Amino acid sequence: MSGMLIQCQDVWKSYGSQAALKGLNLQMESGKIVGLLGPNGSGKTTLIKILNGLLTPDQGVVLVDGERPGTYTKSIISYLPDKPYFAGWMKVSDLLDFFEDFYEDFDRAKADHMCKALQIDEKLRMKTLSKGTKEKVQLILVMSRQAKLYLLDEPIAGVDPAARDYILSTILNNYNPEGTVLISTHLISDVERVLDEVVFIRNGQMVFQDLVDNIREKEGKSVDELFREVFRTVPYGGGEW
Amino acid sequence: MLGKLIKYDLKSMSRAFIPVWCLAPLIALLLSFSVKGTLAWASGSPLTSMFALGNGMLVMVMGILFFAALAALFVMTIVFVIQRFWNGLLKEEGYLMFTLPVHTWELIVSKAVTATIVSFVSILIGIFSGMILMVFSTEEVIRSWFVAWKYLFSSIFELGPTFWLNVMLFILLIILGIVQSIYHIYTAMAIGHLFPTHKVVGSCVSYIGISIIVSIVSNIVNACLSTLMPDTWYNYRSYDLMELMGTAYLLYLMLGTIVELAAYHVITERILSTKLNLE
Repeated sequence: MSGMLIQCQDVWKSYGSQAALKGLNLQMESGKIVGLLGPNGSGKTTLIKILNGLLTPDQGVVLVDGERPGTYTKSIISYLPDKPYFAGWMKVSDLLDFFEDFYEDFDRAKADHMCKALQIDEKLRMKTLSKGTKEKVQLILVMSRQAKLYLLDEPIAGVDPAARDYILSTILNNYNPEGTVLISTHLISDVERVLDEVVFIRNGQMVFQDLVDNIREKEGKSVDELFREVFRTVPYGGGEW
Repeated sequence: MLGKLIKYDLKSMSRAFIPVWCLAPLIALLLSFSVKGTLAWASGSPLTSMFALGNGMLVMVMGILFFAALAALFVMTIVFVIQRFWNGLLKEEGYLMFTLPVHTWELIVSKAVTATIVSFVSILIGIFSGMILMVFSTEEVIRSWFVAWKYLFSSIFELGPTFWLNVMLFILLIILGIVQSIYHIYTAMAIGHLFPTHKVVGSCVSYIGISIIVSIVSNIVNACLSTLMPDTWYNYRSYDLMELMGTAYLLYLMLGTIVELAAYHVITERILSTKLNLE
């Protein structure tokens, strides 16, 4: 178990009577880009929130870099949530100041440079920005950190294909190569080319984990094809499409 | 890190409150001048009394505005205390705050410090506005104020140290009382956050529940202590002894407030540290 960046042992989590994670086991090493793949409602967001301490598991052990979620793990995790989390009154520059104040690994010069490259005016308030620009600011903040673990929850959901390419190249060009990037998504074909490893998650359990190269060599399939095979459901009325 | 959190919270607060803090005394000043004008017109001939009537309308409008500003100050303060904790920690903004490399107690204390500053300043602004209204309305008030202050200053040196100790303790008790009321709301929201659904209703029910528990416990403690206290103390006529009794009573109240406050802090911190669920 030692040397692993993420260790989850028999992790359970329920929302009321609805179980989101059912005894999930997972181990992940450093220095990889990992796809956390699964259909909607499979437990991806719940797992990410447990890793960064926003949710408390009902049962089980979760360790990040050998420690339970806490002040240390938060200092090494850079988290991109699936929705904006900023107070509307803040200006872009306020947010950059905020991250610079709290995260030692935040590279302000890099963030300023990225804002300039994307023509984002740092004097503008967050509430005046479009949805797409808000997401860009969020991505800039997250990728301007030299984190050990990047937790990116659905970073390409709800954006057009051109924006997806931009987001993925930003991640690839800016992440800390010694760290691990965990990307949760159900849009497999878009992220497949950047992934080193994939984890399939279904009904709150890990059902498959392997390197992308192994999948291509052993199975002779792309990750997208394998995903469709593993998560195939028979349509109502029977038959295949 | 606590200082940085407080800086951030104060910044978010200042935008909303500074305009209202400036507006309330300003309206009080305008109202006092319109009252003064009306009184001056009314004391003249029948013709000027007509002007007084028109001015009276102005007084009425200014009066409504003044009380509206005070009400806004009061409501905003309470809403601020609730909203900064609820939205800032238990809703979307909580994603940002709870992923910062800081301890949970720092997040709670930062909110409490800011809310206390806001509440205390709002109370001071309310009192200050009322004073402006009175002082500038009529010359008689100004005169009587001068007399009162002159009397107070002349008698200051005659009062013993116990009196001033009691004054200090009383001010401290008010501040502690504000912090305790804020923490009461925080604890109720933290408990409400544990409810799987209807978290707002859960928070309201928790607030009432906590009030009932605190009331029962304090009544029991007071009843027990009162049986231990000799009734004869109340028959003493000595001023010095009364002052000492006052000090003892203030210290007792402070102790009770601190115990309640500590309990609220521990409960809130434990819930947010071990049961956090930002769904």
